[in-house]
Amino acid sequence: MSEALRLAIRDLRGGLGSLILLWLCLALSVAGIAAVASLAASIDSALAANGRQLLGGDLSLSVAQRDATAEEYRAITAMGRSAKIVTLRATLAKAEGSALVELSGVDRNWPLAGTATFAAGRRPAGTEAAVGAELAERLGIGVGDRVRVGFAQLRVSGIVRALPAISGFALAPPVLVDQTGLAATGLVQPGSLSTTSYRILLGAGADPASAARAFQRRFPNGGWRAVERSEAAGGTRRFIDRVGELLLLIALVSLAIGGLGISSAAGAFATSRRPTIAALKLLGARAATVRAMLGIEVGAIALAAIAAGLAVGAVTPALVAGAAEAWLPISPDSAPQWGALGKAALFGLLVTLAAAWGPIAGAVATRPAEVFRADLEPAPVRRLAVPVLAALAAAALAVATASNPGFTAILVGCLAALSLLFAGLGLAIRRVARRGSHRRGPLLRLGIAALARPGAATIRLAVAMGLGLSLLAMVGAVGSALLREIQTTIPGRAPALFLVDIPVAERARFEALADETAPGAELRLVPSLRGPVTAVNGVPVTQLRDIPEGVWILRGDRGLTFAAALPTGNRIVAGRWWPANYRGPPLISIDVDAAEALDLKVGDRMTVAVLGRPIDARIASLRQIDWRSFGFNFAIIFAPGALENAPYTVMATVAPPRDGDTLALERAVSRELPMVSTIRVRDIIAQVVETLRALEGAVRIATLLAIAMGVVVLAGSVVSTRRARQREMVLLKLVGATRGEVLAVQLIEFASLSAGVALVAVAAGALGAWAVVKYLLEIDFTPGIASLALPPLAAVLLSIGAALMAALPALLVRPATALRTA
Amino acid sequence: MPEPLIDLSDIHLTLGRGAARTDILRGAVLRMEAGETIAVLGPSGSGKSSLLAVIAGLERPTSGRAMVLGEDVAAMDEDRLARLRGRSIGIVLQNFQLLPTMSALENVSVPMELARRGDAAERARAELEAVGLGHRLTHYPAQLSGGEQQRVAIARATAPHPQLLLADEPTGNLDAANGAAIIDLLFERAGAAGAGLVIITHDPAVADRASRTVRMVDGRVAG
Repeated sequence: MSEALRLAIRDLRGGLGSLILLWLCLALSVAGIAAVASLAASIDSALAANGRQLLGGDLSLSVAQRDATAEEYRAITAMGRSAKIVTLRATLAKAEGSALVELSGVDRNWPLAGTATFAAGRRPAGTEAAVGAELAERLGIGVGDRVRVGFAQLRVSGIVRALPAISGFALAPPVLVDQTGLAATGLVQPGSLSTTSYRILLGAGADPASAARAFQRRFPNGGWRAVERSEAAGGTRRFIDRVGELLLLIALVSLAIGGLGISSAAGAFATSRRPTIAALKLLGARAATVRAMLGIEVGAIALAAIAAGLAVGAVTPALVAGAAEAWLPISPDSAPQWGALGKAALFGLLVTLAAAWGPIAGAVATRPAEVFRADLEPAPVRRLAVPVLAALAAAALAVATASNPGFTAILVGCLAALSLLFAGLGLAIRRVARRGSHRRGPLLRLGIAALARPGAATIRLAVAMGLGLSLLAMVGAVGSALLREIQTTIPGRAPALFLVDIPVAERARFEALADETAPGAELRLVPSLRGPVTAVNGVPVTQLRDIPEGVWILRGDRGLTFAAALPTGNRIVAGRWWPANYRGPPLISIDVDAAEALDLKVGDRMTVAVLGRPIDARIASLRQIDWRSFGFNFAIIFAPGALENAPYTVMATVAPPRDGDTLALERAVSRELPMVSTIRVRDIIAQVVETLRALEGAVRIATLLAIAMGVVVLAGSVVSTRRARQREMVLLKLVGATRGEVLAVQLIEFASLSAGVALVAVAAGALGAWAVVKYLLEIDFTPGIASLALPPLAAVLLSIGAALMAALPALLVRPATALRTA
Repeated sequence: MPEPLIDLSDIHLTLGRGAARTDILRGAVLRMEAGETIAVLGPSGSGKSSLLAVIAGLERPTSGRAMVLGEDVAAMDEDRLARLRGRSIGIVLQNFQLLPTMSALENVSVPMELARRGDAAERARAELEAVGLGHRLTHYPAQLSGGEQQRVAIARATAPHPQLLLADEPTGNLDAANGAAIIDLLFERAGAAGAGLVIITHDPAVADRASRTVRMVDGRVAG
C-alpha cells in the first residue's frame, strides 16, 4: 500500500467532517444533471429505436388535398407493402356536445408496424368509428353509441388507447374510421384540407432516405413530403430537446452553486488538516506525499458522491416512465443511458477539480510555522491555474454537447457574469461591514461585523444565494408573462372561433347562418389551400439535406391563400403589393423572416405545388406579419389570378360582440354544414395552458434544486463555522448578552447579507426575464408581483432558518461546558 | 453592615448521569466581604473552576444557596444572569476567550454596549491604555501575543467597573515573566475598580498577595 494511501486511511479515522458537505453538494449536483440528461436521452433513444413502430412503417410519403395518381401509386407499391391513411380535421357531434377531432381513414393494410390498442371494443369497419379515450370520457361516449362526423352517423366500435403516430403533434383527439367510413362522412372533397399518407415497409436492407429521394426526384412537382423511420415523431423530439436543454441549463446552475459548497467544504477540510500537515512535514513527509494523501481523501469522497448522483440519474427514466406515458407516443427507454451518465460524471469531476484544488493546494503548501498563526498568506496566482482550466473545461463541455451551442454559450457566459456580479456584491458587503463597524449599536455591529470576520463565507454565500434567487425570479417572471399572454392577451385579441373547410358553394349560407345566430359578430373569410414549397430560385427543395431551424417554410405543407388587398396585421417592408385587379403571371408575397432565413429578396422565385401542379411565382413583396393579431396570417399569399381555378375551401374567423357568444352559431354549423370543422380558441388555449403548466412544473422543480443547493451551501457554512459561532455566542452571554440578543445577532448577520443579495437577484432575474420575453418569445413583459416577491420572501425564510440553525446549538449548551471545551 | 459580595451555603453541584454522574461540589461554603481578595488553591479536580462557575452564574448548583452581589444566582434565569455578569461581574479565564472577530477596542466595549452605556468606547479606550495596549486598539486577537490577549481580557473584565472580579488561572497559558506582569495588572485594576477579586491559582506567591486564601479539597472549601 502506498504511503499516501496509508496516511489517508489513518487520517480519515478522525471522521469525514466537512467532507460530508462536499459529498452532499456534489451528489445533488451530479444527480440533477444525470437525471435530466438521462431522461432526455432515454426518450430520444426510445423514439429512435422504435421509429418503425412510431411511424407505422419504414417510410411515409404524404401529399396534400389529393390521393396518389396511378403512376405514383405504382411507384409506391413497387417499394414494398403499403398502407394508406387520409387525415383531416373534422367535427364530431353528439347530443352532449361536439368536439374538433383528427379524423383518420385507414385501409385494411394499416397498421404495417406498431399496434393499435383499444381500451374497449375493436377497430372500426364500414360505418363505424373508434374514438380516443380522452374524447370518449369528455363527451360520455361508449361502445355502441352513435356519433355524427360530417354527413355520416357512425356507430362507435371501440375506444382507442394508443395508435401508431398517424400525424405529428396533434391538438385534437383521434377518431379512426376505415375507407368506407371516411367516404360516408363526405368530408373529403376537392379543396378540403386533407392529407393522404402512404406508409411503406421497405424490403430488407433498403435505405429509407435513398428510397425517399428517388421517389421525390421522379415526381418533383407532386408536392410529396417524406418522413423516414429515423425521423418519426420529429415534433416530439424537437420539443423534448428544447425542454431537456432548458432543464439541463438549470441543472448546470445548480452545479455552479454546488461548486461553491464544494469549495467551502474543501476549504474547511484543508483548514482542519493543517495541524496534521504541519506535523507530517516536521516528521519528514514530502509535499507530494501530503498532496497525494489529501487528494485520495477528497477524491474518494468525490467518487462516492458522483456514484450516488449517477445512481439517481440511472433510475430516473424508469421512475418517470409512468408519468411521461400520458403525453409521449412511447415509453422512455428505462435502461441506463451511459452517454448521459458519463457526461454527468465528467461535469462532477471537473467541478470538483475547479472547486477543491485551490484550498487543498494551499494547505499542502503551508509551512509548519504558519499553522501557529492565523494570518495566512493569500494563495499565489499559480494555484488558480488548475481551477480556472477545469472551470473552462466544464463550460466547454456544456457548450460542445448542447444541441444549440450558441444559445448555451450565451447562457454560460451570463452565468459567469452573474457569478462575478454577486462575488463583487459579497466583497462590497464585506468592505461596508468592516468600515462602519465602530459607529453602530452593539447588536447591529456584532451581526454586521460577522460578515467581515476573517474566514467568513460572505462572498461564497452571496454568489450561491444570488444565483439561486436570480433563477427563481427569472423563471417566475417568464412563466407568469407567458401564462398571462396565453390566458389574458390572446383571448382578448383572438377570435372565438376558427372554421375550416367551408365549401365555396356554401359561403353565402355560412354568412347567413352567422348573421342569424351571432348578430354583430365580426366575420373574416379567406380562401384556403395547402401545398409545399418545392423549389427556390429553381433549386429543388429535395436537394437540401437538412432544413435549418429558421427555414420552417420549407418543412411540410404550407397554408396558401390569395388576396386582392393586403390583410390586416401585415406590413410591406420590401417591394410592392399588387393592384386589386391584378391578372398577370403568378406573384407572391412572403413573410420577411422566412425570406431572410432563405436569403431571398424581391424578384426571386419560389415554386409551390398545389394538388400536384407546380406554380412558379415571382416574389413581389416581403411582409412583416404581426402573428399576435391572431387573424389568418399566411406566410405565402398569392396575387389574384393564380389559384382561383384550383379547388379551394374557405376559412373563417368569428369574433362575437362583447357580451355575445358563438354557441348558437356552432350548433347551427354543426347541423347545417357538417363538413365544416369548428375550432374553439378557448379549447386550444386550455390545452396549451395545460402543457405549459406541466412544463412550468418541471422547470420549477429544477429551479428548486438550485435553491436547495443554495440552502445546502448556507447550511454548510453555518455548520462549518459552528464551533467558532458557538464560542462567540457563549462569550457574548459571558459578557451580558441575553438569549434574544444572541439570536438577534445571528439574524442580523444573515438577514443583512440575504437582503442585499435578494435585491440584486430580483433585478438580475427581472432583466434576464425581460430579455427572454422580449427577444425570444416576442411578447409583452408583464411580470406578476408574486414572481418578483418570491425571491425576497425566500431570502427572508432562508435567513431565519440559517440564524436559528446557527443559534440554537449555542443557546442550548451550558456556557461553562462550552468554555471548558473551547 | 454592607451585604457580602458572595455568600455560598452548602453548595452541591452534580454533573453527568448514570455511571458518569460526578459530585463536583459537595457542600461548598464561601463568604466574601467587600474589599476582599480571595485566592483559591487546590489540586486539579478539586472543584475550583466549578466553584467560580457557580459564582459567575455559568453553572446552576444542584442544591444550596448562592447569593452573589445580593442576588440568588441559583434562582435567576439565563438572561438575568447575563445582565448581572455584564454589569457587575468581570471574568478573566485561562485561555483569554476573546471574540476573534472583534478588535481589542471592540472586545473591551462589548459588555458596556450590551449594558447600553453611551461611554462604552471611551471607557474601553481608557482601560486599554491603562493595561498598556493603547497602541493596539484596532488589532484582532490573532494579531496579539498571549500576554497582550490576556491584558485585553483583563481590560474587558474591569472596564465596566464591576463589583466582583473572577479570575480562573489567568496565567496558566503564559510564561513566567508575562504571568507575573498579568498578576500585577489584575490586582492593580481590581483595586482601581474597587472590585472584590477571587483568583484561582496554583502559585503560592499569588496566594500570598490575596487578603485571604481558601483551599478546595474534594469539592469542599477548607480553610
